[in-house]
Amino acid sequence: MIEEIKSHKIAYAVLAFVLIGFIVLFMHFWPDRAQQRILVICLGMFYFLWGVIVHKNMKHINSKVVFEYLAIAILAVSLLLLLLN
Amino acid sequence: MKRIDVQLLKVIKHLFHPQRSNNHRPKFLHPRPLFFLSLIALGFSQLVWFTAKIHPLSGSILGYASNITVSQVVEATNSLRAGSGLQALSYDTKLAQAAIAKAQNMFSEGYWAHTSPSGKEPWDFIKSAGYTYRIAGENLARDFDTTIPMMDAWMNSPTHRANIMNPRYEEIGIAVVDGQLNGVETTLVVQMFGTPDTQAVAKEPSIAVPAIATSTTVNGIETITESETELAPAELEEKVDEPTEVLAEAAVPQGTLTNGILYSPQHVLKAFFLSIIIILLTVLVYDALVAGHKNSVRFVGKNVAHILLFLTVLYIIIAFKGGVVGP
Repeated sequence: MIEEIKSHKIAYAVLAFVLIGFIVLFMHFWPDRAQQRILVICLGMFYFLWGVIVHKNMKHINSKVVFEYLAIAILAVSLLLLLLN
Repeated sequence: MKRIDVQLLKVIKHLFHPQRSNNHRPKFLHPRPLFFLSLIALGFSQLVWFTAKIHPLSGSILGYASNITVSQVVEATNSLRAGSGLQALSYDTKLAQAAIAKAQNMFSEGYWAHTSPSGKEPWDFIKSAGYTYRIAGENLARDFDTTIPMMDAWMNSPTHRANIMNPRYEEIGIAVVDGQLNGVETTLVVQMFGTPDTQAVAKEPSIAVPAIATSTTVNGIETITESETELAPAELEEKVDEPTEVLAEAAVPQGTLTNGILYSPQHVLKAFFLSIIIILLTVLVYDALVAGHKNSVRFVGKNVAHILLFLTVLYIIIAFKGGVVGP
C-alpha cells in the first residue's frame, strides 16, 4: 500500500487534501443540513472523477473500473445523505 | 452437513477472498454488490423511519430519548452570555409557559416553524401566557440528545446566536417536550426570550398590552413599539393567577424518557452504517494485502483511495451531531 501511495504521490495528495477539506467544511456547516448535503454530493462527484482521471492517466481504465468508482461514490454519498435525512 | 460447510466456505471465499472465481477481486468489491449495498442502506433507513412512525411510544425501542433539561439550557445560555460580559437571564415561568404552549402547538398542528399553519406567531403564545414585553425572541431545536451540541448548533447559526447573545433580553423561558411530530418521536426544545415592559408593570394594578403595535420581525426576533391600553381589573386578575409552575413542571415528561425508549432511529442507522463501512474497510485492506503479496496485475479501482474515502465517511458518521435548529 505504501508503494502504491509513493508511486502516485500527487494524486493521493490531492485526494487527502480534498477529504480533509471535506471533513472541515462538513463540521463547519453544521447544523445547516442543506449545505452539508450539497457538500456530500460534491464529494461523491469529485471522488468519481478523481478515480476516472487517475486511471485514465495510468491507461488502466475500463468500464469495470469506471463502474467501481461510481458504485463506491454512490455508496459513500448514500450513507451520508441517509444520515442527514 | 460437511457438504453445506464446504459450500458456505466457498461462497464466503468467493465474496471476500481474491481468487480465480471472482477475477482476483473479492466479489463484495465488484460494482454490482456495491450498488446493492447502497440499496440495502436505503431500504434499511426507510424501514427504521417507518417503524419509528408506526410504533406506538410505549414499549417501543425506536424513539427519541433526550437528556436535555430546562435547567441545563438556562445554565448553558447564561454561561455563554457571561463569556461575552452580558447579564444573566432570569428564568420566567410565564415565558416557560409560553414555550410549552408553543411546543405543544407544534405537536398538535404538526409543524416545525416559528409561525403555525393557522397563523399563530411566537408572540401570540407569549401574550397568551400573560407576559407583557418590550422585546421578545424565540429559538427552536429538535432531535438533539444532549444540551451542549444543541447549544453549539444554535451558536453556529447567526440568527439563533443573535437571540442568545442579545443584550436587551432580561428573562428566559424554556420548554423541553417529548412527543410525535408528524408521526416521528422527537424532543422539541423551545427557548423564549423577553424583557418585561417595565412601564406596564409600574402602572399596576392595570397592565399594558400592545394595542396598536408596530412590530419588526427579523429571523425570529420581534421588537415591538406599541401604544398602550388599559385592561379591566378582572382581566388582570385572571392573568396574575395563571398556574404557570405546574405547566413548567410538565415540560420534561420524565416517564417517557425511561418508558422503554432505548435508541433513536438515528442511533440505529449510525450503527448499521458503521458496520457496513467496517466490513468494507476490512475487505479492502485484506484484498490489498493479498494482492500485494501475490503481486497480481489487475485492472481494478485503487484500494488505498477507497480506504481513505471510507475512513472519511466513518469519521463523519462517528462525529455526526444530529439535531435540527431553526427553522
